[in-house]
Amino acid sequence: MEYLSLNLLIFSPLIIAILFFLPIFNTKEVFIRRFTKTFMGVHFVYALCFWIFYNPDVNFFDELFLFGQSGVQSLGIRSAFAIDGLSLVMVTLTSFLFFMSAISSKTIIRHRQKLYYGLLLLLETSVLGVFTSSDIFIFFCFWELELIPMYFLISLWGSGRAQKSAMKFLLYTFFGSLFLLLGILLLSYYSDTLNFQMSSLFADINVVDKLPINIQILISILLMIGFFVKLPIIPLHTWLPNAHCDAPAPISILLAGLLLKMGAYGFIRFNILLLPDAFKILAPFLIVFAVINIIHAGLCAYNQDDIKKIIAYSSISNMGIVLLGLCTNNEEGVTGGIVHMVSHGLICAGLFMIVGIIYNRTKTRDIKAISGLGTVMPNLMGFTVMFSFAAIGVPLLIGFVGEFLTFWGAFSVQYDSYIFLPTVIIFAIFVLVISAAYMFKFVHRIFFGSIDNSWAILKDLTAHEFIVLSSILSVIVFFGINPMSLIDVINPIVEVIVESAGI
Amino acid sequence: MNSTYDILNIFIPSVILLITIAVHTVLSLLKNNINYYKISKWISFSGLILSLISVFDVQFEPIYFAFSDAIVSNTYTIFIQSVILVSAIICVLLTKKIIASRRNNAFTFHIIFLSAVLASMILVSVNDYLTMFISMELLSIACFFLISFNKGYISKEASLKYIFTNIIASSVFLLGVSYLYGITSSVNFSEINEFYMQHTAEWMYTISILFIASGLLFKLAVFPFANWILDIYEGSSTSVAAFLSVIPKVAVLGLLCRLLVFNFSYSFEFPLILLIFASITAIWSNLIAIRQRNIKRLLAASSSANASYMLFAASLVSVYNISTVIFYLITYVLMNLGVFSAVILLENSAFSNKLYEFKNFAYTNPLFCFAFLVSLLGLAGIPLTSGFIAKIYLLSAIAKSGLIFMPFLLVLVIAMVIAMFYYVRIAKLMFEKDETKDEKFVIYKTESASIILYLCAIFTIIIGIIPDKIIEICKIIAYNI
Repeated sequence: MEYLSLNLLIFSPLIIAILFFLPIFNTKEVFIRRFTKTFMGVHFVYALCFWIFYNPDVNFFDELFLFGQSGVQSLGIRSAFAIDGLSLVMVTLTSFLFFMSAISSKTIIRHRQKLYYGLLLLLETSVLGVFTSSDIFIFFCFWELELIPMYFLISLWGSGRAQKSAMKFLLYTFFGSLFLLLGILLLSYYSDTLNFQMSSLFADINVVDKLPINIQILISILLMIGFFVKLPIIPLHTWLPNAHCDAPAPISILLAGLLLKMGAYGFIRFNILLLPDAFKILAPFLIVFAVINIIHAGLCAYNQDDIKKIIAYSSISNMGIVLLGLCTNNEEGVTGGIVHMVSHGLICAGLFMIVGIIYNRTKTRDIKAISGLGTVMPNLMGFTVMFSFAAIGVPLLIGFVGEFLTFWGAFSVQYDSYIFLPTVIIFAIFVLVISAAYMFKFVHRIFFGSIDNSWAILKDLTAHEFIVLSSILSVIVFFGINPMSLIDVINPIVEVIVESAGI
Repeated sequence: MNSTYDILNIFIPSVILLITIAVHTVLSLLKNNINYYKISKWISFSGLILSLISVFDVQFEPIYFAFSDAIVSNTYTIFIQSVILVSAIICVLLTKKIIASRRNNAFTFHIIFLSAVLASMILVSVNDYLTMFISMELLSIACFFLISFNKGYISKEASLKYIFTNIIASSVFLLGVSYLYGITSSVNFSEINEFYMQHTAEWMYTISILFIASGLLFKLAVFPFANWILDIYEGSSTSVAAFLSVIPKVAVLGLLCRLLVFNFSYSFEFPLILLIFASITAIWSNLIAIRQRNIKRLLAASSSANASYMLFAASLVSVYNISTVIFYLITYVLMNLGVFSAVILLENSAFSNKLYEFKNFAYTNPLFCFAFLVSLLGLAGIPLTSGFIAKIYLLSAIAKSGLIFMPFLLVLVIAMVIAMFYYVRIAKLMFEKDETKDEKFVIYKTESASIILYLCAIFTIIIGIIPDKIIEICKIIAYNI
């Protein structure tokens, strides 16, 4: 265990990115692409090593020392990183999806490759930093840092009104993250320091115990606004469809697969584990928000004509399921929420990849203009059908595990003083119908029916695309058949959550 | 006799500046001085360096009162004075273009420039309202001439605007001083302090210090006197704008912190009024900056916004808050001078100040673009730059001041989001590709502005990664105010 360095895992992409930005580095496109792919492959294997050697009793912990000191001592900040079950799952997912994204970039990114891959690696470091940092301030640093590469990746390589969407994304997230900052500062006001060692905080929560409950609720709401912009929850979601639509396909994969999960991760870390008392009070209301999210975004997805927007709204709907699961406060629900985070990350990545492939071939995203692609692209059709099965929760695929556990937890939820909750949760079950409706509308309109002459010359999947789709699908099937391998890893943290926030 | 000791003890840096001014005066009277106008920059430079060295010889421990209590010298004033001198050294190195365009008046320019530096150095360490008024007026008049030094109608208009607004601010200031004199029958800070130790403050006291503060807020371009700043930065030459955005601000904020700790601290309402002024300025200047298409006007609004951020923390007086203000001041000076030196480099290579000219820079001049980007993102407050640490530190100070200041914290945060928008927009423009033009601008080897740009960028990153030492120093300085 000692020979696995967490610092190396987090900061190696940053070092490679700096190497890319140096003027002496080779500028040949093919070399840069292959170098990035190789590096990310090695990085994924390294992350898998953490999974293999993971032991729930011993957490990985590491501290970054720069010039003999870690972080800013005078403000009580330590640049410390730690991995527990939840972080481990997210880190491995991050490494995997970045690997996939780098492979699928070949046909889509046609210019300025050096800058593109450099920013991609920078983004990887910041996402990994968010998922592993065990100091709140360092968490916030990485949370902010992730915006800049993402902004440039959307605005420079996107299509349509990419610059406008990128700016919208940036401002929304920055706005949310400043509420997050307000919450963190308020915490610092009550604990007299900026030192927030997360691990020490939920080992003995004496800092938070001192807080009066109404202050805890205020802080909790402020933090929540920050996370719900990212998640996104309905009144704060309008950046997402635009950003997803106009981003290039590999970036859409990362946006849907990882950046939304950052919101859910922060929600678990701060709102549930750090401020459990406030969370217990707020959870019933959050369930209502979650149900509105699920149904409203699902109906929106059904009414879209833009194929990327269908997937974008479906991911909003799915994040509602995650929130519903996390707010149930029982073991099944929380496990379901976390598993659904992973499953949605994988499924949505696959679906955005497919949409990207279709857009790349047909140059249109209008669902009315495309029909009958199944005759010329049978492989793609096969993958799409499999991914849509996973998205609507067909058993033996991972989507089923998350949704089933979530609804199981949601129906056994016990908030005695809120008798309206079971009625509300009943509505959430309609998502099964709605998701089937929009997914099959998507599959049916695009792949079936008579084919237009202009689409008859389209080529089927290339080797790169086939590898990406089949590897994502194989992970989906693996965890669908064998969900316990995932649940066992996250079980310790689920127990902590249920113990601290449960009723 | 006594004043000789005073001069020897604490006035050596100012005397060195005075001697440098005298040398410039003599040289400006010589015939044919246009042939060697280039020396003027280096004379000022060496004078400022000598002055900076002699700052460390000044007596400051324990506190030293000089010239029958008119001037005070302690660790805090010495530190702010050295910040002023360092930024003045940087500003002198940026004056190449304006000197070259006004060769026959090169020495005159440096006389005025050094007078402004001298005035701000004295302004930091004044201990009565009379000296304060004199040094403020010296600063304003010097700034007036510096602004009008540029060629063209727009510069003359700017300087007139500046002087008219300044006259109003000064008269309001004098009115306040006269009220305070009427109440306490003294203009000396220490005596007024002693007076209020024994008497309770009335509403007249609040009004008088409000008027006095207005005179200072004019220099910071904060709300009651904020609207001058855009036209004046546009009208003056870029080197002068860099000067205006840094040196008067450092001096006035340094003085304002001292006043807030001692003389203004007997009124309960006054911090709230300052906070309201600061909130209005933060929102107004950031909103107006979005609409600007000229980088100088944009930086003018941004400097006003940054001053208001510091005013937020300064008005809620505590040692911790003052230390955050000092830290923000240091980082702001570095980042702002970095951005201004980039603008000056562009001007020297015949680019205009319009924002759309920035396209393609990421591809034609990657190194320049990187340094410029670091300064800009520092002003926006992105992690890994000193601006981020400074903003967090400042916000934590306001959060620590109490829950009732939450609305102001919210305003500050919203203002910072708006500010993020226009800084990042400039950064984005540099990455945008414009096929029609692919000119690569040349940075001359001898250009001192480029060295300053790179140094500022490097320091912005270094302070952003390891800010520990500087925060410690700031805490010590704030403790000794």
